[in-house]
Amino acid sequence: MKDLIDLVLVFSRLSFVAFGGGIGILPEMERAVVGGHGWVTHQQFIDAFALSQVTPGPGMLMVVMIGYRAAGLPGALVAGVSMFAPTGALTWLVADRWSQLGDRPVMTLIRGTLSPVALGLLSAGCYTLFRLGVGSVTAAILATAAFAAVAGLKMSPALAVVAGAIVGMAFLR
Amino acid sequence: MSGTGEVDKLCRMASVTVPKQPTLFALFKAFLIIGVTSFGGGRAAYFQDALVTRRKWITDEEFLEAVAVSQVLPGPNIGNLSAYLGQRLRGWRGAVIAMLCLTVPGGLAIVAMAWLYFNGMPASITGPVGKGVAAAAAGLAAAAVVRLRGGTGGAGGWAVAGLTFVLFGPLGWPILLVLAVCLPPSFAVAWSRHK
Repeated sequence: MKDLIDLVLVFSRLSFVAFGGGIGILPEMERAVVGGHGWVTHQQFIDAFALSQVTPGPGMLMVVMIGYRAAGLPGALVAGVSMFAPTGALTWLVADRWSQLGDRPVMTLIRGTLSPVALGLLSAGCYTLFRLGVGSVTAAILATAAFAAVAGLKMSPALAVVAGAIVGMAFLR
Repeated sequence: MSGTGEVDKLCRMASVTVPKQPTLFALFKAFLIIGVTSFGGGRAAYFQDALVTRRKWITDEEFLEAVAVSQVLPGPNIGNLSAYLGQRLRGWRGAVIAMLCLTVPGGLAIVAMAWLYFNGMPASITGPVGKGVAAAAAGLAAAAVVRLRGGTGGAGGWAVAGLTFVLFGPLGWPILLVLAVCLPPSFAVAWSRHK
């Protein structure tokens, strides 16, 4: 029971300091779950991150694996809910208030302000993905092919990534 | 809902496009597909493809606004993005459905992985697959950015997007600092275009 309460406290606190995405809180998370509570070892923490990259959905679902190790299935559920629900509810609240303002001129102005910045943030995310994920010639060819297939040929992203997984198994050992 | 037809007629008369509002089931289906198939980083690309390019439920600008808000607020980006888009499309029910569709399939998959892993499966077994997925995901993310390029609205917007990119990407500034520096010039650009 104590572990479940600790899982709630650790992951809901981490979710509220995750500005700009989950990657930024990984060092802080490791301190809490490896050093602080000893739920997983350093290697298990790294492996949890790696496994979250080959399962669908948000990468932050890695906390489900840590919760599972700490307190079994209830721990997995509690960790996932603590990471996603509170900030999701906050976002819902903001979106709700926001949409009540409708299409007033001021909203057009705000949208016009946010759009270029959001595009910059997305491009920066892209940069990170290339830096971390494209380390060889084969990987670069694969990334370019995925880009061309989705941007040019309108292939579905899921198909492109499954093709990537297959190429990876064959060539990226 | 006797007024819906009237509203439609009025909108047509005023030649305003009625935003398409999906049914809850259509929303469930769209988000569940994303939840089951979105591998690798850069998951916003899946939302862009499914909701903007294919279904046209929202515009480029609305999507970029959703991305900005879900990054400005704390929490996992993709969880926030689902809550925001779900709310925008179908209110609180839409938000709940979107978040569940995005997290439950992956959560179950992670539990299965965790069980295998803690019973002796080496994580390195997924190594080559992970590398392939990571490389393809980088390409997908680039495709989403290219598709959304219309959202900048002119040279000033491009300059702001470029500045944001450099500060948040290569220079690795914290997000709040990036926003503090980039939002004022972006507002000035939007303001000058607005008038």
